[in-house]
Amino acid sequence: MTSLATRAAVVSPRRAQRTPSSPVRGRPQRVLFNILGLIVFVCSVFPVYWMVNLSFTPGNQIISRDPSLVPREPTLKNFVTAWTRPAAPGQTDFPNALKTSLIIVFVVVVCALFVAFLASIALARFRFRGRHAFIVGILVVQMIPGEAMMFTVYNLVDDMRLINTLLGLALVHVASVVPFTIWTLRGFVAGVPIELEESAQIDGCSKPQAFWKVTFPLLAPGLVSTGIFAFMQSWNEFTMALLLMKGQNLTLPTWLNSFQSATEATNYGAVMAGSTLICIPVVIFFLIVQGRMTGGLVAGAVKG
Amino acid sequence: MNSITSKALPAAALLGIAGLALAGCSSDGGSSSGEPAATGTLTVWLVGTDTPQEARDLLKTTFEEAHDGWTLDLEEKTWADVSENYVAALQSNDAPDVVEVGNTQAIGFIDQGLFADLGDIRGDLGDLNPGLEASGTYDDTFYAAPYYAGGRVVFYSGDTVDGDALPTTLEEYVDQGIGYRTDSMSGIYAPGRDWYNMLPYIWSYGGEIAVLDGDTWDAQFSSPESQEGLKLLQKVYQEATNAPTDGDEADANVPFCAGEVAFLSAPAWMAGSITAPADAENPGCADTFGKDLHAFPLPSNTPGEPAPIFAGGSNIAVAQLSDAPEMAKEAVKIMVSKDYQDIMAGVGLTPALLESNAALPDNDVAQSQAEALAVSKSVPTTPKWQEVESSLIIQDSLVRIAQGDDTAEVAEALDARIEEILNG
Amino acid sequence: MATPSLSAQRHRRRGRTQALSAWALLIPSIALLALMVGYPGVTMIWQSFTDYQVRNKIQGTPANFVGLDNFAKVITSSDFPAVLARTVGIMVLTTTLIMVGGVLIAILLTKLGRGMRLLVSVGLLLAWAIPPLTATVVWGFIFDTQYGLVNWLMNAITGSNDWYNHPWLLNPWTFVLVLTIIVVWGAIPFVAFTSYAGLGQVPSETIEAAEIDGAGGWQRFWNIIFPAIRPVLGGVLILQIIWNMKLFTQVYALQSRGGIAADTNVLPVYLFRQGIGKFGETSAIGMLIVIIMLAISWYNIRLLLKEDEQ
Repeated sequence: MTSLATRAAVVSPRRAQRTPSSPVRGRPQRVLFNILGLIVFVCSVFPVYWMVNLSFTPGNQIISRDPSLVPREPTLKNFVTAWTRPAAPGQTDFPNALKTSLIIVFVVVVCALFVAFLASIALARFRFRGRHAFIVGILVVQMIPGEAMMFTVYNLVDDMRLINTLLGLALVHVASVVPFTIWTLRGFVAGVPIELEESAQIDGCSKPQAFWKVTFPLLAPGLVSTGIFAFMQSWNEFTMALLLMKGQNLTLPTWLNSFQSATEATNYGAVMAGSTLICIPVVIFFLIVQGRMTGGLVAGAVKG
Repeated sequence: MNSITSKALPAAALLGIAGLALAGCSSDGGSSSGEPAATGTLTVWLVGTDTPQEARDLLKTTFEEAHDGWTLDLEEKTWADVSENYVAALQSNDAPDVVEVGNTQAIGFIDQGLFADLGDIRGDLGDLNPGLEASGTYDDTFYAAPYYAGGRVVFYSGDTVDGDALPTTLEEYVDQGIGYRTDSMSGIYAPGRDWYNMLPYIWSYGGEIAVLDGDTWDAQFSSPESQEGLKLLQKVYQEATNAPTDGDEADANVPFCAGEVAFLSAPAWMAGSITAPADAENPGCADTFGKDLHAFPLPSNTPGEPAPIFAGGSNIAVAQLSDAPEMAKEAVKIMVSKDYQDIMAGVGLTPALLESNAALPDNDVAQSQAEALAVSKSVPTTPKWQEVESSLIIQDSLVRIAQGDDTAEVAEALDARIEEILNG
Repeated sequence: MATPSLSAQRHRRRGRTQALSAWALLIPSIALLALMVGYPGVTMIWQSFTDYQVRNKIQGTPANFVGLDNFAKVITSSDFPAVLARTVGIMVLTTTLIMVGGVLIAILLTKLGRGMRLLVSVGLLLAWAIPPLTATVVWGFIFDTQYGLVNWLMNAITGSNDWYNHPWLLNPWTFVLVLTIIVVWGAIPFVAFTSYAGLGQVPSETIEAAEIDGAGGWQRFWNIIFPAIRPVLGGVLILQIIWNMKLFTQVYALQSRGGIAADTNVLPVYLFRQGIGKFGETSAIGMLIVIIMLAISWYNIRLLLKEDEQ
C-alpha cells in the first residue's frame, strides 16, 4: 500500500479517484442519516437565510419584537440603498467597491497561485537542505498576529508610495495568502506520485515535459481549491484594507463597515442587503469553479 | 538545540535578513520644506456629519479665494477612524494637513508629537471655549484649536411627560423617572455602557474621575461623593429603565420614537434624528413622538442649576508632518472665524468661538445645551487617558453596576485599573 | 524500468542541481515574504525589546533598549493572565468542536444518497462563503437582546416571557457561547470538505476486508479510516490552531454589540486595545502569541515533518 502519509492533501488525484461512500444498510439507518443531513443543512443555511430575509424587510419592521420567517412586506428598497448610497459622504458606493475588490482579488489569486506553485514544487519534489526550515518558516509566519505588524506594514507600503492604491493592498494580500497557499499546494503536489513522471520520462519525455503533460493536469483540482481559498482570504480581508484604503478605493468589507457606522441610526435593512450583495460574487465564483474540482469537494458529492 | 528550533531559527533569520536587505533599499520618508509653495492641495479631515454643508462650502470658497492656485480637499472620516488610521496617516509620508479630533482624544496625539504648535496663530483666534482650549493644550503649548462643543440635554415628548412639572433637582429627576417607568416604557433611558451620562451623577455630588496628587493620579470613583452619585445611578438602572444592561447610547432615538422612553439624555444633535420624517433613510418620528419634542438641561442637586455635564466636542489641529503647515494654519483660522462659527451655531452646535453664541437658535434644545456646557467638565488631561477609554474599563464597570453589583467594590476595582494605566 | 545506478559524483552533482533548482523556484516566495512579512516580523521582534513609540519617528529620536521590560509589564499586568487563559480556552474549545464536527459531517456525507449529499454540501458552502464580519453581524442580530430571534424563539418555546431582553452577550460565558457558534459555524465546512476528500483516498478494499473480518463500525473507523486520514487532519489541525488563536474580527465585532470587553478579550483584540503607538508593548504581546502557538503546535509540526520524510 502506498504511503498515505505523503498525502497531506486535500484532493485525491484522478488516478486514485474515488468518491467516498459507504452504502448504508437498512431503511431506518438511511432515514436517520437523512434526518441528520437535513439538520446540518438547516443549521448551515439558516443565518444566510435570515440575512436574506432581513434584506427584503423594510427597515421599521426589522427592529421589532415580532420577527417573521418571511418578510411580511417585502421591499427592494434596502437593496437600492445598499447599491447606490456611498458608504459615507466622499466615499465610494457598492458598484465601485465591488470593482475594486474584484480587481484586487484577481491579481492576488493569480500572483499567489503562481508564486506558491513554484514554491510547492520545490518543497514537494526536491530534496535539499533547508527544506524543513522553509516549511517551518511558512508556519511560523502565519502565526504572527497581523495586528502586531500593522504599523510596520503600513510604513512599508507608505515608503513604497503605495498607500491607498490597489497595487499596495494587493501586495499585502498576496503576502498574507502565500504561506497558506504554499502549505496546501505542497500537499497536492506530494499527492501526485513521482512514479507517474518517471514512467513518462522512460517513455521518452524530458523531465519538464513529463511534469507538464502528466503531473500538472492532475494538479488542476488542487490549484482550483487553493485558488478558492486565496480568493476568500483576500475577498474578506478587513484590517489591512481598513488601514490602507480610503475614499474611493474602499474594498467591499471596508465599504460595508463604513456603511454600517456612518449612519447615526443603523439602517439594518440596508446593512443586511449590503451583506447579501457581498456574498453573491463569492457564491457565483464557487459555483462556476466547483465543477472543475473533480475528485473532491462538491463535485465529488454530485458524482455520488 | 532540538530539531524544530534548529530549523526554525535559520528559517526566520533567512527571511528576516533578506527582508532587512530589501527594506534597506527603500527610500526614507521625505521631510517637509518650510517654504510655502505657490500651488498645492490642502487636505482637511472632518469627522462624522456634524459640520453642516454650508460651513464646508464656506471653508472651501474662502480658502481657495484667498490663496490662488490652492485647492482644499475635504475628506470624510468616521469616529472609529480616529485611532489607528489617524496615527498611521499622521506619521506617514502623506500626512493630511488639518484634522478634526474629539476633544478628549487630542492629548494622545499631542503627546506623540503628531500635532504642530499653533501658538503663533493663537492671538488671531479670539475668545474660545475654555474647556475645549484646555483639551488642546499640553505643557503650556497650544496644539489643537477648539472647533465646536457638544453636550447632552434631556429630551422628552410633550405627549409622554408633563412639561409643567419638570424636575428641578437630580433626585427629583430620578424619582420622576421611576414614576414614569412601566413594562414597556423606560422612565429614563439608561443603557449600561453609556458612561458619558454617568459623569453628571458623580460630578453633581462633588465627586471626580481622578485628581492629580503631586505627580500621581488618584482615581476617585470610590470616594464618598462619587459613591453617592453611583448609588443614585444604580437606582436609575434598577428602577427607572428598561434599556439593555450592556447596550450603548447609539440609536437611542429608536426606542424614543417607539414611545418607549420618557426622559432621554442625549447629545443635542439627537433632536435632528428624532424629528426626521418616518420615511427618511434614517427614520425619525416627526409625526408621533417627535412632534412635541422639548429639552431641558439635566438638573443638579441645587434647584434651578444645571448639572455639570461632560464637555464633548471637537478640536482641529495641524499635522506636524504636514507639508504645508502655514497654509494649514490659515485653514484653521477660517474654521474658527466668526462667519464659520456662526454657521455652526446656527445648526445648534455650541460654537468654539464665544461670540458666536449669539447665533444659537432660540429653541430649548440649543439653549439648554449652551446652559449645560457653561458648567461642563472634562476627563483628566493626560495622554494616558486615551488608553483608559480604549480599554473600555469604565463602560465595563458601569455594566456591572447596572447589573446590581456593589458600587463600592466595582469602583475600587475600577480605580485600581485606572491608576494602573494613568500612572503606569 | 531503469534502475538508477549512479556514481557518487553524479549523486552529488544531482544533489547540487536539485538544491539550485529548488532555491530558484523558491526565490519569488522568499523575496515576497521576506519583504512583506520577514521585515515587519523582525521589526516586531526588535521593537518588543525597546520603548519605541510614534513620537520617536516624528521627532527623529532613537528608541531605548529596555530588555525584557515590555514582556514583564505585559505578563504582570492584572488582566493579562485572564486574557491568555481565555484565548487558549476558546482556541481549544473551537478547534475541538470544529475538528470533531467536521470529521463527523464528512462521515455523514459518505453515508448520504446523492441528492441529500448535494443539499448538505450546498448548505456548508453557503456557510463558508459568508465573510466573518457579516456572519458576526447576522448572528449578533439573531442573538440581539431586544429584537433578536433567539429570545423570541425561547419565549415561544417555553411559553413564557423569561427570555424577554435576555442579554446574551453580557454574561462572559454566554458571550463565548455565541462567539463559538459563530466561529464553529463558519469553520466546519472547510474541515468537512477537506476530510471528505481525505476519506476518498482510503481504498474501499481495505474497508471491505475489515468488514469481512468482522470489525464493527467503530473499530473500522478507529483502526483503518482514521490512520489513513490522519495526515490530512494533521495539516488542517495546525491551521485551525493558528486561526483560532488569532481570532480578531468576530470577537471585536461582537464586543461592539455588547458585553463587557474586559471579560471577553482575547489576545489579538487585547493587543489592538492597547494605547495608540505603544509599539514596544504591542510587539511584546505579538511575540508572546507566536511563542505560545509554536509551543502548542510543536508536537503536531514535528509529526508532520517526520511523515514528510517517508
